[in-house]
Amino acid sequence: MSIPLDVITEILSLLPVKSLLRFRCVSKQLCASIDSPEFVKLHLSRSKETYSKSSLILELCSGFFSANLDSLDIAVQLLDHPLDGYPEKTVEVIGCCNGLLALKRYWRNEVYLLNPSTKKHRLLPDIVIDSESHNNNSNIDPFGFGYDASTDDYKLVRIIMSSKQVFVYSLKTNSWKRVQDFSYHDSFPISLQGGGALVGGALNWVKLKWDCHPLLITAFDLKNENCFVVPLPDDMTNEKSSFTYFSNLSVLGGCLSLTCVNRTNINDCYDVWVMKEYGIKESWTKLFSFSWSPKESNLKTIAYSKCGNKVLLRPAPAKNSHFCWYNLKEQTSHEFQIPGLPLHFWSKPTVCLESLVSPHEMLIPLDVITEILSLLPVKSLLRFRCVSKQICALIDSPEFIKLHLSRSKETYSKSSLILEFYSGFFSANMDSLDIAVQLLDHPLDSYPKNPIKVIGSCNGLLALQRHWRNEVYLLNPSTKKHQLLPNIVFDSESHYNIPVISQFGLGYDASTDDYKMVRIIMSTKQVFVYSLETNSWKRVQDFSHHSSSTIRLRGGGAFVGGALNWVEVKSDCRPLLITAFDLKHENFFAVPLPDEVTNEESPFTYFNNLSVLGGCLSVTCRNMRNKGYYDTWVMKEYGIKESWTKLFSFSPSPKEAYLKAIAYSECGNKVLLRLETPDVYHFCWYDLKEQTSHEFQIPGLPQHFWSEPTVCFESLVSPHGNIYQTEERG
Amino acid sequence: MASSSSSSSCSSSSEKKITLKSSDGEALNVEKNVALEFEPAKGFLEDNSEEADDEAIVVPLPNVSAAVLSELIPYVKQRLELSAKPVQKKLIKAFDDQFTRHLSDDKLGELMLAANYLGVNYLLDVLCDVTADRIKNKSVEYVREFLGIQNDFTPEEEAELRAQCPWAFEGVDQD
Repeated sequence: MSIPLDVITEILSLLPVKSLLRFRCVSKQLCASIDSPEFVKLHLSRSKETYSKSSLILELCSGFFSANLDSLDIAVQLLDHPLDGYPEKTVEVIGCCNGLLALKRYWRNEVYLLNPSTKKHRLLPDIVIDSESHNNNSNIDPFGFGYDASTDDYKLVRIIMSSKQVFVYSLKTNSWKRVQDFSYHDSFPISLQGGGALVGGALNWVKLKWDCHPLLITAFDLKNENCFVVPLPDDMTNEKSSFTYFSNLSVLGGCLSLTCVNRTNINDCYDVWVMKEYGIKESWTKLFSFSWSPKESNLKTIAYSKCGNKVLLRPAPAKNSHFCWYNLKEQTSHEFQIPGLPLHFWSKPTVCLESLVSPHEMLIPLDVITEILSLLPVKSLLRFRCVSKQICALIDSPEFIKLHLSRSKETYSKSSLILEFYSGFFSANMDSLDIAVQLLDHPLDSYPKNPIKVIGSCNGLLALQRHWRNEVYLLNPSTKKHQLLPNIVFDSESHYNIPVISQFGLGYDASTDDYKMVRIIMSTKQVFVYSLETNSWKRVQDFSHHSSSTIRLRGGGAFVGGALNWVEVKSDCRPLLITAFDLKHENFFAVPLPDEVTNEESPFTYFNNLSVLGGCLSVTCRNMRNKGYYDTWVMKEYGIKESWTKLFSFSPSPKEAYLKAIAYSECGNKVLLRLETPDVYHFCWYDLKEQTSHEFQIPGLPQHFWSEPTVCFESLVSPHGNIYQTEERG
Repeated sequence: MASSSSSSSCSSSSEKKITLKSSDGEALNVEKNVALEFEPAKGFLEDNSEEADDEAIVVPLPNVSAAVLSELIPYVKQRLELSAKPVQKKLIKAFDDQFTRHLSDDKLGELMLAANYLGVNYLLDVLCDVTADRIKNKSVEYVREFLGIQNDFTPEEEAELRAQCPWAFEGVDQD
């Protein structure tokens, strides 16, 4: 049985947050569904419809208590909120929207956002207040917290009463900004009360005269970020009603609800008003009037009951933490207590939904972040491992390392030319060959007497060998991580640890997802294969020449087509064929060269170089018949003899130079060549279309001898195998 | 850019129009071929293909605000026109560069979210490129803020990570 994902999503949207946090472990797909912004919104809309997913949050000195609106017969303490650590400093709720609580520590400016369902929280940055205002006592400042649908953002508003400055915090940008100042329009002292009740996309406060007589509602539009006025019912504001005193502003069934003490009657009573259509003065309706015995108290309406015929009230100060259900139809009231609550003072109750809304807005989905990271240089990635645990795990994952590698191969600016000198390695970015940078710290640096050479390169890994020694290393020049490979245990027939002339090659075996190094001992024809995964050498079938006239191998094990390639040459350097080592099957096979290069009628062709050009095997030969021209061939389809194509013929100066084709230019119309004679070396761009060449030097390079240039990608591939290990020191 | 909606209506008056409804409830009229570039709109139009009158269709896009949509629509429209012609990649790149050059970090994030939700992959690729370029020389703190990621390392854990490759923290741009 397989339930379609949209049905599963529908089911999940009905679940409590606690269940969802558990079910994120079910599978990657389910986890991604639950974390998606679409699902968070869907779940929120369902929570709004579901009465049992609302809680009453009550603040006490000892912590926060929460009681389910559906079952007020028990209160549960919310033990772990972020401000728990300082019990002597009380926190208060300064706003609540879509399951997020805005909290402030009393007598301090620390403001937090907390989702009590997911228990995630965030400390907000401080407001940078201009010097003109010195009074930063936030306790008298009105706050309000709400959701702005136009930008899909949560905003916290703070009005600084002393300076009339208004600041808006945006969760998306995690920053405060100052907006237009608040203006009183009144000459007499006033205050803003009502806690920024969120209705109609605006935060609402009641503007009061010094004697608590309500004047009007000041609202802050979260979209346009400005203040506007919402009128009160005439009954309340006209001259005759001067004995009306503000008691409370709240949200009842999505409507703004105002409670006032009416002292015009013989018996004082509370009038509860509801503005049925936000902003429409005529829609103010008196919901009910209610008499409550302690005259000096005030009354707060909290919520409708599930069926809507009762209103939950909290009269304060209450002697015994009383709550009260007022029945609208029967006009009766029923007092009760929520068991489990301490008897200390506590502030206003807040109704809070269950939601997955995160106080850390994940601005960009993880797959987009992955995409961005895959485009970055290795140095940036190594730095950004510190961003978070999730990002660190992402960057270290084998999947990401492969994705990043494939991007590096596509990105010209992420390949470097590695050049070896006695004094060390130099690296020049293929994109900007006008400067070479010394790679200072490579592992073999400490023995300057024995220079090292590159014996292989694959996917950002370099294989290095110290001259006249058997020490072989793998180095990733981008991450600067390295590993000394174990020694080959030679058979007794060959001498242990005596430098032996060997051919090396480094390649990647996709079938086992493993990097392999091949070493052919030329004197004994023994072949050894090193696997990075097992970190060990094994001996495979001995090497045998495909042609009896072969006397040596040339070409440095160029890695193309899942195989390492060498050219078998005669004693006079005439090429015979390509011998290749299949990294998957770990055996040798022959790859033909073009007839023009090998046939007996062309005895004046001498092998010059084997390299990889645009992913294809490329052979450069010197053609003595043709006035010393060099022919560069490309095997467009690996292993297909007919696909050999002569890319260009080139006559360099000086004529005796040794030529190597290194790489295509970024747009592919030029080939980078290196020309070398015993006295001098230089580089050259050969334009394939115009058939012209442009010689140049890379500045900053020493003048001494150096060996073959190697093209190396930036990559995160570890020389310690697939498991990212912490650096081994010493 | 501001006048493009009016000029476009005369250039392709025969083109059928579709109404897109943004997260903040605004209705935006766009050519049908532009609307089809947005995956949710494409799906919606396919599901409601029996509706005879396209003019009557209102496609809800509850995750994109009108402000972001009104930046996306002219981009997609011009991009479509460009790719219809046998133009060089260079021209498209120049157009993309021009579109992204002056985007603020916040706007970049908003557009990226929208392009991801709407499945406009060619734009997402461009925005990812621009973002990668912007953050590659930045500090860890900058990237946390840019990507909206909370640091969940303890100071000790973070110090250990930093000690693994101190060279990666050299030469970082000022935030």
